[in-house]
Amino acid sequence: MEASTAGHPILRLQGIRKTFGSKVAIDAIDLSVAAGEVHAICGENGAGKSTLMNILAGIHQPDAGTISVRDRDVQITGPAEASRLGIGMVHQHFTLVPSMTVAENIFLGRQPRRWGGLVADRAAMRRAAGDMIARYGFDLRPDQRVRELTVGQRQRVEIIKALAFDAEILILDEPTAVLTPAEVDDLMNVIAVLRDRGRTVLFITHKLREVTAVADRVTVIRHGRSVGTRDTAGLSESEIADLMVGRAVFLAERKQVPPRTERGDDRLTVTGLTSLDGRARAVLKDVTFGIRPGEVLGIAGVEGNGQTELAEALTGLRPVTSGRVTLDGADITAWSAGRRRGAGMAFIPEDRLDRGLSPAMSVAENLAASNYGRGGLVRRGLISQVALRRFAADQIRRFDIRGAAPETPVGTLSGGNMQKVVLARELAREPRVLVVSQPTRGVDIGASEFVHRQILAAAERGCAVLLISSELSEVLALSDRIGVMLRGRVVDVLDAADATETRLGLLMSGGRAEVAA
Amino acid sequence: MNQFLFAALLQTTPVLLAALAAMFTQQANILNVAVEGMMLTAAFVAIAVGQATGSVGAALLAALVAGLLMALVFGVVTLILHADPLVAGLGINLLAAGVTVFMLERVYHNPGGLRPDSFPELWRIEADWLAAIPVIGPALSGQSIIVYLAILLVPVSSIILYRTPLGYALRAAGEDEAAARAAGINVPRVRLVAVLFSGVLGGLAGAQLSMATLHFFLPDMTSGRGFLGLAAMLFGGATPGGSVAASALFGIAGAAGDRLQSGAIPNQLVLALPYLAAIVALTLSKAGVLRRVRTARKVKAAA
Amino acid sequence: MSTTRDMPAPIVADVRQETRQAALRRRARETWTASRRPLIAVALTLVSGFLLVVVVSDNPVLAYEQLFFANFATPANVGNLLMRATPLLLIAVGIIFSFRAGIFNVGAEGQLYVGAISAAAVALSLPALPAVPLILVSMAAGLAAGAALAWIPGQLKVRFNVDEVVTTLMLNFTAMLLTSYLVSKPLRDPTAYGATSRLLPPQSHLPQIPGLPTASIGFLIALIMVPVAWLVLFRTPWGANLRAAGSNVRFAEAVGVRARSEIIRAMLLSGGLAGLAGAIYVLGTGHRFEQNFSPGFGLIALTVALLARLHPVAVLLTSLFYAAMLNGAAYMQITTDVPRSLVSLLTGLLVVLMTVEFRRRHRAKVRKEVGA
Repeated sequence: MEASTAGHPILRLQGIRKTFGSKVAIDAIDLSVAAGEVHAICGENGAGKSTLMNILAGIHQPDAGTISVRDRDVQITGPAEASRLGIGMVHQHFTLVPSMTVAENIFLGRQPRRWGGLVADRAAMRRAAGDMIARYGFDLRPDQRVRELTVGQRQRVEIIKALAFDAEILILDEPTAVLTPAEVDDLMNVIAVLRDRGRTVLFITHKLREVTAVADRVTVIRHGRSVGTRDTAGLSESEIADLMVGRAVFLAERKQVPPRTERGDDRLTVTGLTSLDGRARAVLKDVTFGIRPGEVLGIAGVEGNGQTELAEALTGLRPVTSGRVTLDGADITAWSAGRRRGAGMAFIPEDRLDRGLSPAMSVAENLAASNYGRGGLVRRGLISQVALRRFAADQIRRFDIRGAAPETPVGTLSGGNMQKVVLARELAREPRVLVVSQPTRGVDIGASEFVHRQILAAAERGCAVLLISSELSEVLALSDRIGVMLRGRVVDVLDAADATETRLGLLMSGGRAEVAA
Repeated sequence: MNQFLFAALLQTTPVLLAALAAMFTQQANILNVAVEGMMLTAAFVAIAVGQATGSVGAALLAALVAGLLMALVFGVVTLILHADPLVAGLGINLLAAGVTVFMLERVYHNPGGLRPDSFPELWRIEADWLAAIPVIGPALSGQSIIVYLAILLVPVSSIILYRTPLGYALRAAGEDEAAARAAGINVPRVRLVAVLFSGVLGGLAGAQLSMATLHFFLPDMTSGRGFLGLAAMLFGGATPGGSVAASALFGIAGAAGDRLQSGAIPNQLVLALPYLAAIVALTLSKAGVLRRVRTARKVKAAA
Repeated sequence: MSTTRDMPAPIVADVRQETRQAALRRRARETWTASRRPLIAVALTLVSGFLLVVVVSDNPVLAYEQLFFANFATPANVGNLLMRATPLLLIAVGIIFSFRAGIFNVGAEGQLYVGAISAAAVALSLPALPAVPLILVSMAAGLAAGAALAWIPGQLKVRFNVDEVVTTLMLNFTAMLLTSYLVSKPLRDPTAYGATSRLLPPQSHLPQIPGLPTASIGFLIALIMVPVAWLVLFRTPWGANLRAAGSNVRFAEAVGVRARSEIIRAMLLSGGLAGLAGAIYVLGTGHRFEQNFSPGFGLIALTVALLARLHPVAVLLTSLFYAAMLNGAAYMQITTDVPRSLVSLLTGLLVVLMTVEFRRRHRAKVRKEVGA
């Protein structure tokens, strides 16, 4: 492959469009990447970044638009074709075999052979891997087993895998999502080295610090469209944040928010909450806040900063290493999920199919789960079918769950209606505390409005609500106070009046909030 | 003592072959409970064909083919028709038992077994220089060629598994399917190859059972040796070295059990040890004690 | 705080109220869809069997007739049919509970054996007790033994996440060897030939069903389990929680179900039922413990349960169907020249075919790991 002259576009996308069923992932994206540059792709979750990169890697085919590599129009039909064109991709979720060595992983599926093609030439593999490692200056040995490597090292193995066969263009998908700060610095150095070696690097991120640290140019994508490409020299993080933050309008709005002091004592308090994951890394660090009855505390932040873990810790689905959670004054830190629910806690999880519902079971049974104690559903130990059907029909009506009868298997409903089932079940409990995470993900506009109104109504009935969402406008519309979560910490809690989109966007993306709002 | 070691090696061999058979599929993440059925079918076919043709070579070949065919059924049903491997495997065992007894009743009119009056001898290797080797020599000399094949298969399996592209593909498919697919490996095809391998090895095990010392076939001749091999494989962490060590252990225990007819230790306890050992090994590895032991994967089951 | 405490004005949704006819039609449709795969598997198997019989026998029609209908020819045959179905039904109900809870207990054979020998041991050691308490205590012993054996793999699963399929399979052999030892030494009947226990005291024998001299009330006990199981599974909160744990364990945990407890309970229940089946066999049919008394009831019951798509009522049909085939094989062999092993062969074929997906869809893995 001939080297391209530096500065000339090595990769150009025009008018790329991609839909999955009725969902438009990419509306119209134009992208031009110069040879030998480091180009960052920035945007919020769901903006379309990963889909775009998957198209480049040959995993998806665009519905419309053209791709040209080195001034030639191409069709990237699959990963093999992408590799042939010199495009290598490092995915967010590693595809490494833990028990095999670095060299073996690099050459998986394409081992050099010996003895008439029967046996793999391990010496050659080791040598070639060693050469590549040296070329990029990585701190790896070909014989190390992947399971013994740190996450940062594994990522470097993935990078070599992607580069191993003369790839000129390297795509990194959210590479720093799983790295510690020190490892992130290492990666930035690696990217610089790659550029020095003449490679073109495309990397997806939502962290502005990285963009300004190592990228030459940045393209911002929002809601499936490219909103602009800028040189990073002289670009400030807040300018990037401005481009990134969405401006979707939600109809529901918080009415007359009474001052906090009128609400009484905190119903739910969280003090110094810390939780470690399986590899003893802190996923929650010293989280502290309180929520009063009738108050909505919104937690903004890009996904992956500990929100899931926070919700799980509060609802009893994840153990905490230190800290306290109290509900109405009682210390519930060690309580089981069932016990917390009994004390009035309700949970709308972020992934309704994963945690919120049993898709195979009926609407009625999903509605009734954990609600059997109320409303005369159970008489003398047996569930009354009549009462169950009536209860379900009631909720279906109240929550406008379309296309559902009590016996309908819940998995056949649309996303918005499934979410309403979860909502109905949790709110039927008249909870004292509601933990709700990403309530309108994958839900159409109409149902989203309904969901928001229900959440606000619950708050008005005195429920203390913790709203976790990566959709900034949603948080802004519903919350009395807003906290931002970053790397397992709640970095700041602002009153709704003081929180602007820009300010929050900056906090979320790891930039430093400026003094002037 | 020599006789004891000879008997131990004789008992170890079918278990070892079953363990190696189960190992290949285990590395591809398939819990192979059908080894028993493959062995049984092969044992029967060996005697039937040997009697009909008078040729040991034909009998041996037929046994391998029989094991392969059973494995093919298992593989097709499980990998292409997406049946549950556990249920299908147990079904293969039932099918093998049913088919063999049916043939005994129908074709040979003797449900008690197939005992040919004359039967070609399975090739043996017997040599003075072999017997002269200290300790294991007398145990080795005089064994059938299948025993030697089995011993040879241990390093060969190791080479196949750890040094050939096929072995890499197989292990990747079993350990991380996503990584295998990303590397362009055809996962179902590679699994099928593993299943077919296990069929051939199971066939060899069956042939050894029916032809090595006895040359007749009895219903339920395998009496759990396939599962014993499975247990040995699990206990040995699904590696060739572990499998042979565990199989040898069980073989020695089995031969010892035969000897200690009366005595403080009941025969059944000795026979039960392999299964208990497998459970203990799995628990310890899961609990993190034996970190390097390969653990058995969960099996998809019917709804 | 706002004074309005109501929910926002509801938009009247179109709740389809089902008429009784529509409900019946829907149920019929659901049953048909659910039974399609087992029916196809059974049909294929029976057809293959018939083809084999045609090849093998001069009178294939008579043979197949005998296979099924001889079971109803005399009260004695009917009694035998019920007795054959009893352990299948009991074990299958247990399997339904465990599989629906997401735990795959394939150790029924071992649990059956320890249940049988425990019942026998207890009955033999308390000959002075009158009938009713003796029977009750012996059955309780069998149930407890089966439950205890199943408890071990259950604990290993929830504590260490050890695959229960492997542990229950291994324990099958262990249990069978244990009972083999017990019946060859301590419990052995010195006057009898072979490894078998002494004859159990006469008051431990289960009473017969009037009119069916060969059938004991053990069948009635098994029969009762069917509606009880159905009620518990589909009409109690516990059953709903169990099914939730089995269909989506993360959902169950999120709504407060303790998945670990459910798993252990499911194992105890399924092990207990298998143990009870062993006790009923020993008290009602064998009247002594014989090694190898089971023609693979454990595995066949698994077939029966899966064929019934894990539904308690359907399992009554499939266990009777299977028992008919098993006994029918003997009748067939007596009357015609078709060997009884045909049924073993067909059983194997059926099991192999049973879980095949004729559609090309890949089943999603619904089971999840237990615990964090």
